[in-house]
Amino acid sequence: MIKRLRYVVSLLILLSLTPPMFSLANDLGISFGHVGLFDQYYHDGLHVHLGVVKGITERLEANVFTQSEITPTVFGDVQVGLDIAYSLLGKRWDKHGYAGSGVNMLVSLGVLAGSHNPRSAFTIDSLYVKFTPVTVGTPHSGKRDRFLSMGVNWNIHANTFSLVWNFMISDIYVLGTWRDEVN
Amino acid sequence: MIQRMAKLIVLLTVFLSLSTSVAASKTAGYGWSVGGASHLDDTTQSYSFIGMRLSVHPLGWRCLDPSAYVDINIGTRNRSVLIHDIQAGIELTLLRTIRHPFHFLMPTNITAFAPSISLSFQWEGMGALRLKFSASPVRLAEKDATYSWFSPFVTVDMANWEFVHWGIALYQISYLVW
Repeated sequence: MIKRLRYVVSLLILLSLTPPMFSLANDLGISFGHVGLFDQYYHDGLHVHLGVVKGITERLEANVFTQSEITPTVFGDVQVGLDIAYSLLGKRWDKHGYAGSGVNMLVSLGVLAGSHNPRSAFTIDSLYVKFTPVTVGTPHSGKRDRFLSMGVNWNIHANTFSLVWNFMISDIYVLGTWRDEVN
Repeated sequence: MIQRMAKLIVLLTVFLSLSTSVAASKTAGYGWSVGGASHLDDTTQSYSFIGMRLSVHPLGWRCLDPSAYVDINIGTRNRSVLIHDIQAGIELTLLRTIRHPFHFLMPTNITAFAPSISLSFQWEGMGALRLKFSASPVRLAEKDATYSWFSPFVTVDMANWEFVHWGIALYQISYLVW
C-alpha cells in the first residue's frame, strides 16, 4: 500500500511539472468530486476524484488528478490521470480581467495510470474522452462546479471500452480569481 | 355579539400572523447526495448511491436546531441499479456561526458553519430494518441551502445490534423552497 502511494505521489509530482503547468494562464485550482469508471476492475462503492486544475490558455486547461476507491476499501484502487479540457462555450479565463463564461461545457482528452491491467503492475492503463455538459462558475469567481461528465474509457491492455462519469466535481481556485485583482 | 366579534378578530389576527411568518421563512425543501458504503462482512453488498431528500426545518434555531427528513437512495450494487433503501430520520444542527475556516469552499456567498448529527431508520429491500448514525462535520449553510462534504455514517442491524455498513456521503446538498 505504502509503495503504491509513493508511486502515486511521485507520478503526481512528475505530471505537475509537465509543460501545461508552466503555461501563461495563471489560474490554479484544487478539484474534488465523485468518479465512476465501470471497467472490469471497478468495485461498487465510492470513488473520489482529487486533483489540481491549471489554466493553459483562455480556453484550455489541464487536470492532474487521482481517482481513488474510498469504499469498500480505502485506497484499494488508486489511479492517477492527466487530461486536457477545452471550453466549448467561450473563454474560461482572461488575463485582462474578463470574468469568463459563467456557464460552459467541456470536452476532455486524458490518460489514466494505475493497476487496471492483467499483471496489476502500476503502468498506463487507459485513454479516455469525456464530455461535461454543464459547468457553473469560473476561475474568476473562485469556484466552478462540473456536472454530469460522461465519457468513454479505452483500456489499452484489455482493448475494452467502458463508461467513465463524474456526478459532480468542484474546483476551488486559489490563483487567478477576483481576489488577485483586489490585492 | 361583541365578544364573538372580538374572538373572531383575535383568531384571524393569530392566523394571519402565523401565515405571514410561515411565508417569510422557508421551512421545507429537498436535496440530493452522493456517496458509498462498505458492508463489513460481505463486500459484494457494498454499494454506491445517489440520494434524494425531502426535509422539514420547522424551528430555525441557531443552536441544536432539529429537522426531519425522508431519503430515497438509488444505488449501484453488483453492477445493477436499484432503489437501495428508504430512510426517515431527524437531523440536529449543533450550531451556526459565520466565523469558520471553510469559506473557501463556498466563496460566492457568506456561509455559516453548521455541523450536524443525524439518526434515522433505514429500510432496505428484503425487510431489513437498520439504524443509521451519521455526522456532517463539514457542513455550511446559506440562507436557504446547506452543503455537506465527506459525511461519515454507520448502520446497525436492529435485529442483533451489530454494525452492518460504514460509508461516506461525499456531497449532501439541501434547498429550502417552501
